[in-house]
Amino acid sequence: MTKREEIIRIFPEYMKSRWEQALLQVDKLQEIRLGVGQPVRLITAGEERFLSGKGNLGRDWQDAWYMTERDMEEILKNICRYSMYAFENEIRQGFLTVSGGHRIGMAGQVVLNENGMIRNMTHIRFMNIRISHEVIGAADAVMPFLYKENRFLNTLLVSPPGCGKTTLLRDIIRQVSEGNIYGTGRQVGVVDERSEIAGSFMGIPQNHVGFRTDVLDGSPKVQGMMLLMRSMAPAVVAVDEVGGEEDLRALYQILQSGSSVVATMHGDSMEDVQSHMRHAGILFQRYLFLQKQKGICQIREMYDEDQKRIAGMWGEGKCSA
Amino acid sequence: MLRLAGCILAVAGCAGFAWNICADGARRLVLLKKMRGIYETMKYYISYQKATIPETLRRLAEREGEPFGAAFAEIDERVCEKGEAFPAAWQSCMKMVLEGLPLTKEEKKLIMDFPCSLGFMEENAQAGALDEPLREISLHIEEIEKEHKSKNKMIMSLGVAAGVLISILLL
Repeated sequence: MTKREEIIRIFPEYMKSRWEQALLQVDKLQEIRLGVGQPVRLITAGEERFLSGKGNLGRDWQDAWYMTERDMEEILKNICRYSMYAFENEIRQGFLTVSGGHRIGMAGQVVLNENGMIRNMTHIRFMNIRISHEVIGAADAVMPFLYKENRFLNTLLVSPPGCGKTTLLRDIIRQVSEGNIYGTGRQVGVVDERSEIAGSFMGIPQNHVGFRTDVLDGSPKVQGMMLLMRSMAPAVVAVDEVGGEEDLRALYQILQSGSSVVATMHGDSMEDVQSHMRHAGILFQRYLFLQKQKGICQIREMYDEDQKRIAGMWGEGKCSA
Repeated sequence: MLRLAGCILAVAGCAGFAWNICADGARRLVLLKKMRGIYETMKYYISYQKATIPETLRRLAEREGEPFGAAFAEIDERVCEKGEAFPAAWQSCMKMVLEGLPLTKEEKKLIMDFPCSLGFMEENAQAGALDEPLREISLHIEEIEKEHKSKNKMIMSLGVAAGVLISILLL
């Protein structure tokens, strides 16, 4: 199925014709923003366009198609295959992943339980459809640095949000799982708390994460890491956005058991990493810092376990040791 | 001799017709019981396994034979593989299946309207929403079972009587 077909499938039958024309340039499409009483907006290569009722894209919001409550409800039903109860947990967390790995963020009226925690979300009136763009080969430039004598080194990817950590992590997972010229294929366990790495839909990864990869989808990180270690015996554990003390303690246990770890963390410098790691006693062997310049995600620099800079990379896929 | 043969044939034909009506009634009962079983299994899959409706139908298709099994498999395929909307897939597949079945208009409508009872955010609420069609089907079953024997006797008697009447008229 093509990406265009995957996205058109999100919408109910009576809307499909409008989207067919609008989604001709799906390769550059980043987001589709929907809101009740609001014009339908498509963000393509950083530019905003409005979708008209006839399916044309334009800059004028006055000609745009405005979503109704019924439209929104029908979209939600269609996404959930008329089984909203089956996606209750995802809706509660405010997003769900659909076939193709595209993530749909949702906002509406939150229902709290007696402890003040979010119990569910009703009257969903806003949606943000984020189009998944896998970058196969994104990790090609760093892979030579992530192995030592056929062993995968514990690696931490660090950057502020939106710099491509998860994209890079996904490709590292794929290459470690399938094997490459630097190391043989390994059993990888992914704890995908927010379904961002594998983009699982009903438990099936929609992104390429390798054929030796087990994915624990939607699980809290700490419990997920422990569960995978007990049940699936991974050689490498991959986890996104670690940072809390409990996360680090769980990582420590994994390292103690002899498995390797590849993880991401929010931050911008080695100081940020050290402030997180101070109490945990974890030593990664590779630290990759990412940045975004002129809209392009780049690997800024790489450090080893002694926190010595071993490589700086500038531009897409370029590397200078 | 020919007249006698004609009379026997007329009586046998009418009795056969009556028997066919009775058999349809029995088949209707079997179908309704089957449908009740399907709804009950669906409730289980929804409330205990949180399976989606197409997933539930896929599992039911593996267990159920004719007439519903193939239709359920097709609905699942149309929704999950071809991306068709569930109500449209359900309506078109079930319409074809129900066309040849000896169910009443009301019973067929109960089955056709199944997508209307979907859309709940919580599994128990969704399973509970299936109670209404389930109750309706159970009422129909009860009604048929109550009337089944006496109605069958009446239909058969009427059939034979009609055959005898035709024979007398022919003679």
